[in-house]
Amino acid sequence: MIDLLDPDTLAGLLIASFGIPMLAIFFATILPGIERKIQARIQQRIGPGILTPGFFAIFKFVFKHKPKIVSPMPTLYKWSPFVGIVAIYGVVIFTTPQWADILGLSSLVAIIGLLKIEEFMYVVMGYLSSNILSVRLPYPDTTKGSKHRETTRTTIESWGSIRMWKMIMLASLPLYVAMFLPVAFTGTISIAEIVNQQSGGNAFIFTVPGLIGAAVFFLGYVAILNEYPYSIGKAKADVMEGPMMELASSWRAGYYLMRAFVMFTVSSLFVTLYFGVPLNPFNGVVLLLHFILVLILPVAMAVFSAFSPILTFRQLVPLSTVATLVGFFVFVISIGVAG
Amino acid sequence: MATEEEVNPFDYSDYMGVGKARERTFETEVPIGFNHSALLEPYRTRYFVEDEIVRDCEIEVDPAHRGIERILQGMPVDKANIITERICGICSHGHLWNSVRTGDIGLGTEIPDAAVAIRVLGEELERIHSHLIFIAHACEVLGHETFAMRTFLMREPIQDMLYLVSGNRVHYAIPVLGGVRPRCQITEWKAKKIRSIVDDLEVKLKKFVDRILSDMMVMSRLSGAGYCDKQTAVKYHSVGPTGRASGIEWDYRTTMYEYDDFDWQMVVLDEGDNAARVKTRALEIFVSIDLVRQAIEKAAGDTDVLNRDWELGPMPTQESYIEVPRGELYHSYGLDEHGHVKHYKVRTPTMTSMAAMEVACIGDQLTDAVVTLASCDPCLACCNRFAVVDERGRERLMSLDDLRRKRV
Repeated sequence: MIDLLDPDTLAGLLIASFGIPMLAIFFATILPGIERKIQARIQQRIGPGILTPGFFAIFKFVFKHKPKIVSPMPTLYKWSPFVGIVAIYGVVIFTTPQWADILGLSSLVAIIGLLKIEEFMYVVMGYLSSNILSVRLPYPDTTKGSKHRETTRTTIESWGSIRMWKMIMLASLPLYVAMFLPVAFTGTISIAEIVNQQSGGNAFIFTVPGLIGAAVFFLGYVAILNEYPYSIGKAKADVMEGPMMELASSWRAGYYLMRAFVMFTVSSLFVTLYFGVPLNPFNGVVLLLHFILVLILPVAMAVFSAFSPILTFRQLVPLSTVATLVGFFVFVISIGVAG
Repeated sequence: MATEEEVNPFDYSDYMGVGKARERTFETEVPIGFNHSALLEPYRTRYFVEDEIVRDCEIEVDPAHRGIERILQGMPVDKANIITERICGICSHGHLWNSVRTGDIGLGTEIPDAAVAIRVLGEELERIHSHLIFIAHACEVLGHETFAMRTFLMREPIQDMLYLVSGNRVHYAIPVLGGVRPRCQITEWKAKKIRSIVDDLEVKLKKFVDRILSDMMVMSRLSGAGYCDKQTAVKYHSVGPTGRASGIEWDYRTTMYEYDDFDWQMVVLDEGDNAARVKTRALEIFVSIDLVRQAIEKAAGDTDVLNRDWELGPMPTQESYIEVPRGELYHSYGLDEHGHVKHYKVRTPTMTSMAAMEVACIGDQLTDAVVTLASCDPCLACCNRFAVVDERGRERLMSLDDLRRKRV
């Protein structure tokens, strides 16, 4: 049992709870810039500065005029991204070794629950948004002679919301299956135990199930970030920004921050679970290695997204089903390898 | 199955379930536009959906009415000609050429051979850049930004060639009554430069088009979506590459005297889906490149590009059809005794091709339906011909006879 009255333990806990998340948030704001720069170079453009899309954009939006948000529950709508940030904050601190023995929160189940909160906020936002580009556009297209005049009009954000719901049910499933592969390998759901059992060059990533699992994890990573080809929930072709369409000024800054934070955190989770390199504030080398390895998934995603169109559910259903089945297959193999 | 002759264009019978769909009332409608990130042009689409599957669709093109035909009424013909170039920023040469061509035919003016070749050259260069814009836009709507960006890069040499020929990159102002402007002569230097650009471009485009058409993810989005069979295409008078992608073997270039001395082949595909409409345009680019080469050979070094031996006078209403990148383009007008324009009419290909896509998108996923509408390469700026405004806000239903009485 952890002794909270011990000054060293308390100091460690405070650093893990506040210092590491602050460092993570700062590092996270660089990731969108790296992503955009890579995509721009692939597209033979110069692209924005590394700090522009993730870091300076947040300040830009904070100082912008705040328009009135049109929503049946505007307060919940505009604070939704911040609820997501709090959930992700929890994921970051629970993966640190300092939280290993506190209330059992440093377990994969708790982390998956928190990630689900972040995913679900998109569904909430979609139902609470009512942008003028949708049903409120004052356009007389149901005049005499037009078809189906009595139909119920739905906002395009609500369609984005339905799609986000489908994404939770389907597309991000490979991510959660892939998170459990190290569990099959190590036989525990405790993050600290998973890390410990991979010490001494025994990292899960260097096994065949680990490599396949990493590919499955990667697909889930792209899906949870709603990036191409998984951006059907905010497809510009029809629902535009989808649930995030009504977010402006500071509230959009919050969304940008949340997205960057998710980009870092899920990648950090990958490094912790697959490489066995934790977010340990008291081991500089390990911490530096962790931050370097965190770049793998965002960079791979930037390249993958640059060469992908948006896939509709016509393609996403078979793709995600196959990825999930592969994940389950590897889960069984991992148990065998561990055995 | 009905033959093409038996198809009644005003019969909304139950073909492909469209008739039944229009009798039903759907619970959910998704209105999209006219301000929308996927729509380059301002049109409004009402999708009637069931679990994201489009069951019916209605398109409205009202916001883009500009009244150009009314502006041209009573205008001196040479001024009217140049204003028609402003109807579209992509097919600007097509509109000006057809406007001038209508006058040339009506006044019986002979056009020098080199001028004919330069007019064809302008049109084919325009076709290449228009088709590349289409491919870029299709990729953008699909969400493939990299292909969209690279396609726009591929288009730059075409704009350079248009600049070489005419001195402008958008509104080229090449044709005038009696030929082409003298600045558009193809000197030996221009011919050499254009040949070199075309050779380089053809190699790059072949690789690039092959890359797009062999991309598994892109083709999975395009194939099977927006299916429009030949019968539907005929019924709604789908024209240009949109119709040819559904198996309609028709291209107005086969009837234009300007193309008599050119050796070229029409591109016709039978698949009728979004992939076919992209492929048709991609293949037409290479036909146009070949036509550009032939036009350069015919016009190079020839300084006789303008016949000034004609007189303005009364001209009965004359009509002319040409094949522009999106399909057939109709211009007609007459001249009074002062050479002023009477009853200018323009009919653009989007009107009918868009109507075919309104039916073709039924059965698509909502996201694919937007691609289907974009796959006919809609150009609304030149499409909308009239607007009825009732300031008192009354509703009224206009019949076909009402429209005919108003000469719409």
